[in-house]
Amino acid sequence: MVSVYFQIFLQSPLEDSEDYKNDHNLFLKGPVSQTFPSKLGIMINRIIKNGLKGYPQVNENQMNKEIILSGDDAIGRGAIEAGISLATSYPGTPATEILTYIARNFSGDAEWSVNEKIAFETAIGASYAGKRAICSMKHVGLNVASDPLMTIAYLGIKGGLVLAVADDPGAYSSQNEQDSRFYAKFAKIPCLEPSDSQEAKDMTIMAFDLSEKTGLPVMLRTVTRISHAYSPVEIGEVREQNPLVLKKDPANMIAVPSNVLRCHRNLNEKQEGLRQWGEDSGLNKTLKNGQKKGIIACGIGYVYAREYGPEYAILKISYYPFADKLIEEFVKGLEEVWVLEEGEPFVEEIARRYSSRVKGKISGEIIAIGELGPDVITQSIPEMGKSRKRDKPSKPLPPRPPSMCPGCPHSKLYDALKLVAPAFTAGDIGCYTLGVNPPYQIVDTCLCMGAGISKAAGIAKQGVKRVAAVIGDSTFLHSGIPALINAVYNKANILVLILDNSAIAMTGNQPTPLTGINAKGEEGGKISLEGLCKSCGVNSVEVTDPYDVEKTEAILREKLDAEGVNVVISRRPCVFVTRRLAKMRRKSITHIRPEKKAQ
Amino acid sequence: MGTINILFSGVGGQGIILASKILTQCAFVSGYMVKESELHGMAQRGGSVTSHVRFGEEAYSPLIQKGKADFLIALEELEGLRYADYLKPDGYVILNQKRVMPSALNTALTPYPEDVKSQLEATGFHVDAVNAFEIANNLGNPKLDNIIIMGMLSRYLPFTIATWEMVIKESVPAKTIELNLSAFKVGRELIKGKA
Repeated sequence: MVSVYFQIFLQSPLEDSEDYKNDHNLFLKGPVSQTFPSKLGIMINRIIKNGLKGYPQVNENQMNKEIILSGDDAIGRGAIEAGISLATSYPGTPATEILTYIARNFSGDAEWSVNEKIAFETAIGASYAGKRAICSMKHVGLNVASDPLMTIAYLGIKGGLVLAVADDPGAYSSQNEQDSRFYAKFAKIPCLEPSDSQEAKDMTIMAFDLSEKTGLPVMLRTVTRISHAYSPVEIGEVREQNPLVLKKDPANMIAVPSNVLRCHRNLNEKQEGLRQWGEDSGLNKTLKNGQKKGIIACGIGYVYAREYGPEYAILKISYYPFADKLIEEFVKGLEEVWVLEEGEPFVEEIARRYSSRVKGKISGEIIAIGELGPDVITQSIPEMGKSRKRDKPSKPLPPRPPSMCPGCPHSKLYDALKLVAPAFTAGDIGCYTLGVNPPYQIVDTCLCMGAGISKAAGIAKQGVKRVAAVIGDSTFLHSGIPALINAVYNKANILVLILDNSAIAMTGNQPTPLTGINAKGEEGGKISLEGLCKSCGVNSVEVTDPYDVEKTEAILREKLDAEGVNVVISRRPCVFVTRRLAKMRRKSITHIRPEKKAQ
Repeated sequence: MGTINILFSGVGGQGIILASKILTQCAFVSGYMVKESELHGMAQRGGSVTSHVRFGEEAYSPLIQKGKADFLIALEELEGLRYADYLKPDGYVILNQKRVMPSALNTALTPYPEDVKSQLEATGFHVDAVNAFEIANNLGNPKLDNIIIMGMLSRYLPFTIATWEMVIKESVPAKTIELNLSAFKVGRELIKGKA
């Protein structure tokens, strides 16, 4: 059945962007029950009207007591306690919940930015105003934000600036397994790496102090099993926010050639101090008591070392950069040194300079891909694997890969797209990437956020006809727009399908600029997708409801053969968006512990 | 007491995360060190879902080592079998006799396994099998099956009924508190006298 708001869009004349803007305003500003077919409009209005206040996870009774928090929650709590004035982020597993937590529990500003670069730059702005700010993202998000990162390290910051980056070893929900510690080293900024939720909170606070002491942004690196693991955290007092001090400082705020070399020298001169701070902080500590074997345990590696190697000496690494002598002294006299670190053999490489008995990912004892977990450790280190894993049942079991939810609008669109059969379909990052799997197998490539449109243009430029790009609404806003402009400018012949499901569905249905609601559940500015595409100069913009497969197929068939860049917006809200938005208001479970049981 | 390792397995949407959060909070308010680990995002879209809960005087790793789980709480049969290698040799399984067919099941190559309960028992595990879905349906809401299972699990764990009830009350929507508490009791009765 064709929904009411679908009709509004189909009947709307596609003439100039002002018209689209007006039409799009109807989307939310008209009587919601009439313009929105689902409960979505009602829910958005309810949230805007009542806000998220009244649903904090922390209250006065919990002060100085323990509650259960995930690593992400704990970073959020740490940032609030450190006296932030702004939190920014773009959703990405496993970092999403840092901002979610702050948005729910902090009375000040917290925003879903349009992408990670913008999130980080906005946070830099707050720092320039003398305030403390945290910017959080997943590991690949830092690729997007790496441009401002490399140069802000030269210039330096004003108010404390913490960059919380969550890596995804094992790539449970990512396109790669990159190790963010290299970025910290690359930018020459300090990096703290917690091993559980309590440390995540404590180190967030320390990171702000360090940031202001050194004038550098500080990275906080977590991994999936920190970000999405829950453990007790003691709630502390909230520090007062910094006063607003926006001072012009051209020598340290303007990255022009005449300033660069001096700024670079300043950054180099800070390095010794960074190592010294690390030593004084005690974050890297040696637990050695005459053992013959040792473990260098980075971040979460520490809890594995405590669990599986109680008879080993441990060097706990939670801070980078450190002076090599830390490693040199630890490995001295040890017959065997294991390095437990998630990601690349970052510390192992250093350790190998000081001992020939280092075992890890370079030496080949520990598998160099995937996640470091109990099973990898106990299978790699014979002494720790006393209890071998049991054999799996002999018969192979049917796999259960992730799939699109029942009723998913993307699946309906793919039904239509399959009928049309493009020569090649360049995909992007989001739920719709699942179109690579059976029964669809209609998406032929997936690389990174926003790459679909550009790759499609590159393919079409080689003379291939009927090339399509598939991109979600939020991914389009994130980094698809420049690609669309480029395709128009350079006269590519492609069909661009924007799948507008009114949410960033994959990461938990965060709101987008198209829905007119922000991270805090307040009314935000609204962007018209049609107007935006039209103003990029595309040949045509069509809107279709993917549930109407017949009509969608007809539009796709026509536009796939058309010349130039043609946009088809497939619009229907994610089936879970209302429920997930309702969750923004839901009270969370936060018991406080009466007292710890005697041990 | 050492560390108790409990692995939840099932399919996205079955209430695994809620069940493991209830357990985590019970362990926490009872004074234990507790760690829980779960996955979000792409990993969970209609796919196989697990949650690890470890508690005791100490618990360092948020993940359970294969062959070390004391309990496997399987909300779905296939997912119970899939993660059975996490159990220690004499481990306990609470098996919800419910089948959710994988979306792209190749019945010729990998058919849905038969006799999951007896397969698990043949491996030496202690299996409490229950059709919690049916019981939940009779109670008035099929989604209560995870709470029925928690009622069964409660027989084996050192938390008071008051603790369980307090945590459940605060974990479920206000309108469904009574229903959830009765589901918990029904589950608890299922194991009566066994533990």
